[in-house]
Amino acid sequence: MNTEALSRQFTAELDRLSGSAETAARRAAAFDAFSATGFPTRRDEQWRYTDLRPISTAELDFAPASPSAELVSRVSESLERSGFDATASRLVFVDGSYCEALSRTTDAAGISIASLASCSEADLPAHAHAPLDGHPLATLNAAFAREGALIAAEAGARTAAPIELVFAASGHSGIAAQPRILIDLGHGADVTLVQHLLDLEPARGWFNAVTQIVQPPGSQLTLYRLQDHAEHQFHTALTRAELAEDAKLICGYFDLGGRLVRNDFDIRLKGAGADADLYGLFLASSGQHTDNHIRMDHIAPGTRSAEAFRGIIGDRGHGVFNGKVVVHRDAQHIDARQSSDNLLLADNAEIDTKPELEIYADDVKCSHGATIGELDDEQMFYLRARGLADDEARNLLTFAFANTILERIALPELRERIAERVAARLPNDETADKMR
Amino acid sequence: MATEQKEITDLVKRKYEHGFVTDIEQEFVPPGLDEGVIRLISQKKGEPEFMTEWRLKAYRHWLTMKEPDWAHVRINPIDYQAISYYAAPKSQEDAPKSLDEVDPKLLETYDKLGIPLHERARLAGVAVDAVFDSVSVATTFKEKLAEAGVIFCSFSDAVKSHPELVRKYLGSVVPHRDNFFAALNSAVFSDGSFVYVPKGVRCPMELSTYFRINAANTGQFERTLIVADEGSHVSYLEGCTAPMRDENQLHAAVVELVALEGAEIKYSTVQNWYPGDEQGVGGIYNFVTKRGECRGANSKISWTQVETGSAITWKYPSCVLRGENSVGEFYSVAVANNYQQADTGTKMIHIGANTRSTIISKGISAGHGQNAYRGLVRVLPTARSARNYTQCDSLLLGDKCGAHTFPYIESRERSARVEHEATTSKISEDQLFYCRQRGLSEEDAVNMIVNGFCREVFKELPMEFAVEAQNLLNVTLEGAVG
Repeated sequence: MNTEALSRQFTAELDRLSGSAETAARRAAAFDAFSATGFPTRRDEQWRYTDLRPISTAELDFAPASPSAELVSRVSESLERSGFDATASRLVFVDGSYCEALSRTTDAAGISIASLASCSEADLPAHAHAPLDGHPLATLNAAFAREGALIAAEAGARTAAPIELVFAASGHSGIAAQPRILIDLGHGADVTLVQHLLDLEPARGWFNAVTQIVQPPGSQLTLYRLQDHAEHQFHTALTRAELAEDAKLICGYFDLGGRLVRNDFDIRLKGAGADADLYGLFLASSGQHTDNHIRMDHIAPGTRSAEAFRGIIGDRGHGVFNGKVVVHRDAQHIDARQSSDNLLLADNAEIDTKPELEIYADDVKCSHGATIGELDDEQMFYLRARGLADDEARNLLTFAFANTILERIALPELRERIAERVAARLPNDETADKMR
Repeated sequence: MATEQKEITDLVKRKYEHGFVTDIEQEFVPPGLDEGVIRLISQKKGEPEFMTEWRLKAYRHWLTMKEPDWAHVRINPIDYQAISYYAAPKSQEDAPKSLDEVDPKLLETYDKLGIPLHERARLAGVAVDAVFDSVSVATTFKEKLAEAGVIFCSFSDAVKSHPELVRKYLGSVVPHRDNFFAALNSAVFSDGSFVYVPKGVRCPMELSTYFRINAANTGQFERTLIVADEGSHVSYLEGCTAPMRDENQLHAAVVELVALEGAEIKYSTVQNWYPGDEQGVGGIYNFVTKRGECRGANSKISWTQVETGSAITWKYPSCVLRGENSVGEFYSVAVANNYQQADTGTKMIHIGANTRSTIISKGISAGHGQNAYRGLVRVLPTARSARNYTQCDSLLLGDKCGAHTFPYIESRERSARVEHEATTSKISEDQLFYCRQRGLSEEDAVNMIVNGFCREVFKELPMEFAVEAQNLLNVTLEGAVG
């Protein structure tokens, strides 16, 4: 889809999107900002390893229709089958549109969950309009976004059970969903949120999300995401967070599906004692491409961050990790760790990893590590010697590699559900069978 | 404590020791660059036609290129038309046959630098091909090398006496269109060293060259080509100092190494160009392209560098590991003090099966210095069972400096193993306290800790360089802590 076609869609869409003149102006400004650069190319250092042409050349519809009753019931069945808790507070979106029938927005103890479309402009937190410079895809989201979720917690409020956000795709091709998730916490609030992304049928669409998080002092946010798209979906997402004193952010991202996946993180540690803990697991095989791209800014002294990502790359898979830790001037007493560990399981698989440090203060402890390799021969031998078949042994070791990340999920039920999906989607290593 | 403080302050204020200018007549080409200047350089050096054409090809390509801006450095704009691209000592017409014939002022310069040429040549058994500005003026130990069949001469000589070798290998590792500065070098390179070690020969001595920029506003464009034929071995040492100057001087060298089957090349550098004063005024721009190719099976190329000088260093000694079982190594200590900026690292390109590479990089930042490690490890699908280990550590001395790490790790071969680790830290109060308690001055304690930090790299240096490098490091970091 060239910029012209995109521009035509935007003009048509702008009239249909509700909102004040101010909102319309903001959308137009965002679209202009995107048009000025267009889709980033691999010549751009930030996109060196990820080619967006599959998205930029696809025919996409940015104004998908609301789901039919039939589709809603299919989604409902699918959720039940997948063992979703029917009593949990949740928002369900189908093909990018909010689905009231499947959502439950109970206001419990100072926590409110609402569909963005149902919020008046006055309800939106200030950071809803924060500029998204340097993130062209998020800027495009700012132009088109109309659906999404607003999760707000009053000071000291805690979620008893995790809030669930479900984004389901029907299988219709060409849908460009542009959801926005706003998280607005009060002092000392403690919220756990689980995002599920699933496709009922394989479809070639684009899911381009922006999550904006503001954490005041002492607040804690735990964000889990299971991205379980079918094989054709394009998925790009920006998670941006600002953390004040002693705020803690935990992100556990699990990327199992999708054709072209790019997760951007833009985390700013602005108050002393702020702590961000990012971990993730991704599988990429059968031509899948998954890119985790992190920028971690230590702006205040005494802040801490950890990044731990593991990739399992199978047949024709391409994995990318780019983590950048920036320690600003005078931000002393920083503890920052990065690790990127990767299993290459096929001959035509590729992994590119780039753990960067940019440090302008001296009293810091920063480290990073990266490893790339295949399964360990000695471990394989050990298991084979104990009677395991070759593929059993391989699966066991591969799963064990993944389990290091899975173990960090604090919710036992969720851990089990994700582990099950991981086990089901571990890349089959056919090239290896031929070789041995 | 007070006297100590004063001592440290004195040390900090100490001027760059090697800052002086030898006043001898120079033969200049007027500043500016066009095809005429390139033809003139080529003609002055009496080069064969193929060299002139090669230079012009490089120049024409250079015109189409843009200065790279991806490095983590701030560069004042360089006016390439304000540089004089050729300077030769006047005495070149009747080149000296022995040290006695060398201009005494030149010898004096070497003395001030602490390179007693004749003494060193006799006592240390090192052949010195000293490049003064752009033309070699003294070469020793030619005979002994000739006995072994080793060719070690200035590049200009090689072009005349061994054109077939030059033609075969020049630009085969760093092509003339490789990058902006390499293209410029290819067009205007003045001189440099040429080494050819024949089959099965172990070079009887360590080869070394001392580069020195002397005249103001003459960028130095060195070209070094080392070819190690099958089963041969050579160790090459390179060291630099430069006189004090207020204007930035451009140094864009190219070094090409070719190791054929079973050959080994060890290339060691101590770089101490003038870094600019405490305010960051002046200093050398050191934009160097260094690359070696392990062309044959079982070959090995090892880079060791100690980078303490230059206002800006932009340098990535690399290894292309083409031959099976070939080995690439990179050991580096880079220091950025005051307003120095260093963006340095390596590239290891694994092409052949069972290729192995090791990268050990130690960055030290002090004052307002900015020190970046930038490295690439690329494993191609043909590099079965390739192996890389990378370790890059940064040490920060002071809260106004920066330490950065930009590693690119790309693997497309399942049986390859790649490991990378990096740490950043400062000298802890505990370490200092421990040393001070045992009677060491703060300065000595810091020196000791810093030298310990760099040990893994220093032990790779040839002995005489290791000592020099340690002293150099101590001098460079004087007053950085305290």
